[in-house]
Amino acid sequence: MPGGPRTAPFPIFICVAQNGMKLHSKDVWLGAGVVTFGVFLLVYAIPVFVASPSNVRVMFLSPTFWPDIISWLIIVLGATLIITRMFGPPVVASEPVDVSEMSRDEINFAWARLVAIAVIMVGLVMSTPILGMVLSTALAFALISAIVSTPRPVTALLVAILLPLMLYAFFAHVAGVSVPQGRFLSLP
Amino acid sequence: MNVFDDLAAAWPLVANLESFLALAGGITIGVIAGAIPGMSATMAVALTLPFTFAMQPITGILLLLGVYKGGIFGGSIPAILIKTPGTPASSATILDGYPMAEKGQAGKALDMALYASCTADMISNLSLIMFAGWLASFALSFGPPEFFTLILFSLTIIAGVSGDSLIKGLLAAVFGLLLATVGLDLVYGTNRFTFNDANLMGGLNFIAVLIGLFAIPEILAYVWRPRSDKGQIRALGEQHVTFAEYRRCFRTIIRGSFIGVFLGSIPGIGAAPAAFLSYSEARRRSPNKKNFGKGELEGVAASESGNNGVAGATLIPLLALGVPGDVITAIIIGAFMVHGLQPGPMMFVANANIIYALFMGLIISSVLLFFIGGVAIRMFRYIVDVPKSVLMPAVLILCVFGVYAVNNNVFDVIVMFLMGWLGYFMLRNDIPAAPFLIAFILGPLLEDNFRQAMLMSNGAADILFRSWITWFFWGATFLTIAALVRTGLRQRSEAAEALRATTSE
Repeated sequence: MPGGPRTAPFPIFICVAQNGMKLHSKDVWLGAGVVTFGVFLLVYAIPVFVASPSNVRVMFLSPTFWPDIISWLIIVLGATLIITRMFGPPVVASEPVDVSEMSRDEINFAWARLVAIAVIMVGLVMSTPILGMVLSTALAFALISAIVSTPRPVTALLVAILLPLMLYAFFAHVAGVSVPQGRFLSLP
Repeated sequence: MNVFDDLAAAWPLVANLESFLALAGGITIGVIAGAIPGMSATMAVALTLPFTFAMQPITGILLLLGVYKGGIFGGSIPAILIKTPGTPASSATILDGYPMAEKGQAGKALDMALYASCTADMISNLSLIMFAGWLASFALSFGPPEFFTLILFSLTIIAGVSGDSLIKGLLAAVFGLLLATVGLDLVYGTNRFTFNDANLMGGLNFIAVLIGLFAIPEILAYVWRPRSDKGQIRALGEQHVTFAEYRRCFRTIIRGSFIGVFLGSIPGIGAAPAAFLSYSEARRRSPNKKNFGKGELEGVAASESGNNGVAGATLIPLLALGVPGDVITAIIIGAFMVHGLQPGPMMFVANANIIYALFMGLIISSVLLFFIGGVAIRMFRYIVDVPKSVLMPAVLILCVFGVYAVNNNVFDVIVMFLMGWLGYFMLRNDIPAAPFLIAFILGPLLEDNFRQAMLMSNGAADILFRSWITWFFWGATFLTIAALVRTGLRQRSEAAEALRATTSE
């Protein structure tokens, strides 16, 4: 299993049963979101964003046919998710959930780190044409290492500098990829 | 050309230093990635894919196959030494591998894992060679209706067996199908969800989607809670597997290998169920069944032969039918496409030399795995020492360079990040990513074959029932859905009973 967090990602939606099962009340919300999205597709997104010629002879060949079928499937599956979670027994979680495993402060810091990495991703994309891919990724590496409070800052710094350079050398000189250079640093 | 001509044409493709190094390098990367908890064979194959663009098709594909095979074996090393499976496929290996390590027999458990893996890998490769060509020649008679029903059947299995919740697996698959509709319509060439953006007209880049789904969520999960998964590493010990012990477990290894081959050749089942089935069969038949779970060598042999028996067999549907057997072969299909090759029955006609070169390369890979795996066992202490706080940012940088390199386009990097957040949302809500990706790949094929069939019949749906092959796949699809629903209902009633029992206590 991925070593991902299973602990209270959306604490307000999770109820924890005493035996370690989680009552999937958040699945009801998930199902509601899915049904809403399916309806949105049928009512708005497909008519507006899927162009269909007026001379389509056979319904099955229309460009909207497949998206329509998928939208209906989304609605049906979303509704099934809601019904099974509302009226069925609680589902055994893939891993036991213990909301007390992380304190409130830890959860707040975790959210802050997620927001920070989202900002880094946006920054990386926006800074690539200006700083170049090598500098942008090196900076992103260093910032992420700082966010997760790396116990080996010197190693992290060295890798932050060397890895983008090595990748640049491979992709630019072996694979023939035109790696963005940026305005301040021009690599051979 | 007959088989011998094809073999002669294939030999130069694989008998060169470049191919040999690609295989050896791939297996090394795979074993290392599989051995690091938090990395996975899937992630390793996805991250290696962009590095194959500059290679010859056969070299690039051999590199990826090496990563795949190495990754499956590599997962057994931390399973035995630190009780943490490197890959889901090696979960069953913990059951007896770790108790053996606790008894100071880690070296013996790892030796058996390696021998069982290599034996199973070889059997799996030979099965691939025997059955893929036969299946492909049969599939040559398939038309669009037959392919449509085949892909529908594959999707049903994949969506159904990929997670704890059938509904969530199906939901993931349906969203994958939806994402696959982005781009120009296949028949009329009109825009579908392109928002008049030229970047979207060719559809979403497959590599950006798969790296986003399988690598970025792991990074985000680590950022959410940075912690080391490194447990106490058990010493290898002085004991090693003797020939008599290997012979004692040989029947179990062969049985496990064929279980792996059988389950691997059915799209969607994957290595983990094969390992558990092989393990339970071994326990049921073994005279030492009481020792299972307490450090039985045969248990390690069973689980490792089960999961490695899958590795070659998943290529049977991939090469013969063009349908990926699991999520890793779904990524490898991308490598074929990047190099202008379309796996499927026609490839056995048009590119038979590449097919036979792959077969030869796979046989060599089993031998290489034996040597590289042996070294990796002894180097594990250093492999697991890589700090995650350095590894995860490094993975992100690899992702950025790799995805950019596909089309020299920053837009693909944006798609990768967005897919990464979607994948993270799915991870936190127990929605499996594998059905999403496989449906994303199979979606265009499904739609394309459906519409071709409709064009052939001028819109008459009875063409989808025109032959016994279509009837067979319709029947198989129906039976699969019925079995999945039945299993789901049984699990629910068991859960309800368990809850009632707990409440009454």
